[in-house]
Amino acid sequence: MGNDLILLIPQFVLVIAAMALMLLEPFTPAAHKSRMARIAVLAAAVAAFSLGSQWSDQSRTILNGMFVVDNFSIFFQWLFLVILGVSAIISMKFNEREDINRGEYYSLLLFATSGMCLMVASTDLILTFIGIEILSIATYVLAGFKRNDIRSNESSLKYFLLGSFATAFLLYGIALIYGSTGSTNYQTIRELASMQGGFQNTTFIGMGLLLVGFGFKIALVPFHSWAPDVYEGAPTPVTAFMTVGPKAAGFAALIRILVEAVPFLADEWSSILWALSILTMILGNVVAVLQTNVKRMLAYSAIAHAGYILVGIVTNSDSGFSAVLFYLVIYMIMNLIAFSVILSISGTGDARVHLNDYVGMARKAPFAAAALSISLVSLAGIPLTGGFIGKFYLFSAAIRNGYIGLAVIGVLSSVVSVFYYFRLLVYMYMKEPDETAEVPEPVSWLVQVVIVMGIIGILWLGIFPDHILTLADYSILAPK
Amino acid sequence: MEIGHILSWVTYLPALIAAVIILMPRGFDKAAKWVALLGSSAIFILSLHLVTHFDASRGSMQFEESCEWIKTAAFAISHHMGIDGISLFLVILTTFLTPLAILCSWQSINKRVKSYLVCLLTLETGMIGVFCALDLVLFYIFWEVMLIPMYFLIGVWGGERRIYAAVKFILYTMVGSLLMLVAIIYLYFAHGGTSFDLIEITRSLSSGAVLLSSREEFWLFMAFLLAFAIKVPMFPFHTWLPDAHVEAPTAGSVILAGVLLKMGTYGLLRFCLPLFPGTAIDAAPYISVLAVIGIIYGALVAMVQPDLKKLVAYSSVSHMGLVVLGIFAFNMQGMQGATVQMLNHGLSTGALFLLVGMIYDRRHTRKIADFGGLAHISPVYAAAFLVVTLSSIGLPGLNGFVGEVLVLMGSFASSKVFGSLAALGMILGAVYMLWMYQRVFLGKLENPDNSAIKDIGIREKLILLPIVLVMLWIGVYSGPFLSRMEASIQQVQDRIDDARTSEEIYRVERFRTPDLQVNK
Repeated sequence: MGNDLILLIPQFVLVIAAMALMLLEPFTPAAHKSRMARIAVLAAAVAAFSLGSQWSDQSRTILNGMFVVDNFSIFFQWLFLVILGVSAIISMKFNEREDINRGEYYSLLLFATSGMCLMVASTDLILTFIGIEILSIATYVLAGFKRNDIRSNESSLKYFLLGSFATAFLLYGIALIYGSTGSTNYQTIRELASMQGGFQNTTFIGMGLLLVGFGFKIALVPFHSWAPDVYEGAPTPVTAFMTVGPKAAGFAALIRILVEAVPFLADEWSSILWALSILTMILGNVVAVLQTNVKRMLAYSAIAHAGYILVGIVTNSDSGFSAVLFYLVIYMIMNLIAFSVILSISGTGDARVHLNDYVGMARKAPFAAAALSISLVSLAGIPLTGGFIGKFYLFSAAIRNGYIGLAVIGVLSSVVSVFYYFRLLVYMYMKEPDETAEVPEPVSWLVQVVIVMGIIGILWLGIFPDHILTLADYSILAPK
Repeated sequence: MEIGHILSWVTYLPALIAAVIILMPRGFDKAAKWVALLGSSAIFILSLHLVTHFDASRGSMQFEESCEWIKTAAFAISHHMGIDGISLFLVILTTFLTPLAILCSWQSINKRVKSYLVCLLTLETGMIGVFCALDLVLFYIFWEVMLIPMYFLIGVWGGERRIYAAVKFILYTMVGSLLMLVAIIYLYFAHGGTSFDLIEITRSLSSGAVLLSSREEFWLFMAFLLAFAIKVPMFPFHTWLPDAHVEAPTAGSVILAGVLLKMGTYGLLRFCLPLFPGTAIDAAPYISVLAVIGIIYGALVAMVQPDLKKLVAYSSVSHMGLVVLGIFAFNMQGMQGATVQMLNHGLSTGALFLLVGMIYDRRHTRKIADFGGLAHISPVYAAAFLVVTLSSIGLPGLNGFVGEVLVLMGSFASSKVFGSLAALGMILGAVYMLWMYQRVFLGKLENPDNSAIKDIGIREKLILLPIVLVMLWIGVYSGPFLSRMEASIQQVQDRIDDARTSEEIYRVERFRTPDLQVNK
């Protein structure tokens, strides 16, 4: 039992810090609320550090087989902690500017992160469900944190209603799987099902409903309709958080369920995800072309990227899962950088998020423009950026496993994405600004540090990706 | 003395100079121009080392260097570089044209000078890298990276419709190149997932260690062909070219016509033919038809263009069609002629764009109708233009003649119909070029706006002189050029001949590799 507790330290750190922030909030004067952010960052660092000591070659299951500590879960928890840290840092200035500088905000970020950590480490459908709920409830509130802004309210409400709807699917799926196999534990489900001869209609339908639920959470077409509105209305740092954190957590939990609980349905889920992946890549990219609001454009781009990531899962192979892990890392970096720049440029109340507001940005804010360009070029998958290596890895996994058509559709849809990513470059660099346009306030130094580190990360992963690729190779769940 | 890692130096020095320019403080535009000019000239001199130390008797790769780059469980991408007789002069052409491109924008580019120079120099790195890379992924990376500076050159410093042209340019090229990437990855796994190395893959394909089914070979060939055909550009993929040329700044047009288009035909020679000779032989008649259409169509459209730059752009379509025709003649004269013609087209069309840029700097128009009788007031300019025009239409004694005659001989040997049609295209070429010359330079000076035009100055003479000298050199004494190409082209030729004989002897359906199953 003592050993169990040691392995749970990262979770304790996050939850205790979250509760401490709640308690400290009333006693912190308004001028010093950004201390709350520092506590959140500190908690993330401590948790990440304590996770580091858990890295080993074998997986350890605790809490009666509900919670597993393996490289897969550690890899993802590190990812979430980085996302938490960056989101907290980029929120500081933003929350002051938008006058929503409250301690609960960081507390909710911490709770959301602890939910994500539970999701990836859980090996039981019930615990997975609890993780998803902790995450979702925190993000429902975060999405509506600008409570005087009607769009933020809309965002929150929409996310809540459709999210609950998705939760129902998820629960129903869990119930069906439990009903047909008699367990909610991944390993037991697998073993019992194989004793019963594998495929069963109820298990299959249960798995299908689970896919619908996860499809909502990670915004796969056709379950994506909430995403653009929610991403557009939420406070920008929250949008940044949502496009990477919950998405990565959803993918991680989904992979674990598919690989550990229902591998006997691999042919079925692989075919379903194959279709979803094509739909998601095409629709996400094509609709993004039509957007003139930059935040909304990136929302559709986030949908499209979920489609690329699915390609790796469809292959149901070591190379595919490793590609997914790598892609999620680079996707996190480039999306966080893009949103960090956008929230710095956008001005109070998202006053400048239209494409036209970016005209001449290269002159007015050269640093921001350059940083945004690099992350967009990486999102488009141009070589020498991590985005290229990520896509290269994903599509080569597809080709290796014989999904040539999927790879071709993937690359063609990413040509479409080049159009809208580069359109932003056109506005920033190629259109002449009129002199009256106001200059955005300078990016705060802390955010600058984050951005510079992110750019180094993008280029580093584009030129010397070996380390992270190998790390991803070590962290995958081997197909059962 | 051999310089170690010479290819890496030549490739990456421009990027290094670009980095220096980025670090220079604001307001040092003039100094940045000098750094770029002197630096790129030094690189040109350094690259001459390649010519002097090149062993013309060997057809294999020279100055090779290789080291592991990305090495994981699934992938081995190496930084493998090397040049042979086909790529040697294309590298030199690149290093030769870049300083001239910088010099020609000495006065015409005044906004964002540093960024402009950075784009030109990184573009140089990309182009040289494309010609040197022997690892398929490395090649692809240079091929793609180079698009970004070109995109900015057209989009930021271009003419009125620059944004449209820039976006069209990048989308067209991306479609082709991404499909090529899929083909590259497929080839890697078909080859057992061990190497992206072009030399190794070619060897195992030709020795039969790796067999592709004819269906696989067909699709792979098509994916590569599409990427290169868009770049060349072959009819009907040429529509991006006139837009990009017309809108690009002079230096951009020079580099685009001079070097970028060559990357397409170079790719055909380097990748399509050696990797997939069987399909190449089968596809040759169709590709030749497209090439001939390109030659004649390009010439006819060029004839009616009212805009000088557009005229030169369409003449490129026509001339590059000739290069493709030469390559797909599959004989020594044809391919050698095509390789020389790549060089020639780079020189003459590059020079034409430089000349058009000079007159545009003075008059801010490129309409042929606005000119007339310029020979009276700017005789040196007119003389230089005449030399370049004659070179472009293949007058004996100038460079164009050598390439054109070889290509025509080659294509005549393989098909009389294509050969004669191509010859017709050459005649049309003479018609539109000379007619244009006549309208711009001869006759009376009627438009009063033109009377104030100054003749070209020292800087402009300095730009044109080296080009004209090289034109004369190739025209009079092409031996040093041809001899260095011969052995390498012979290798491609051998590969084609092998495939032809084996095709004729066996004619069996080849089997696909067993470890690569196709699900969907």
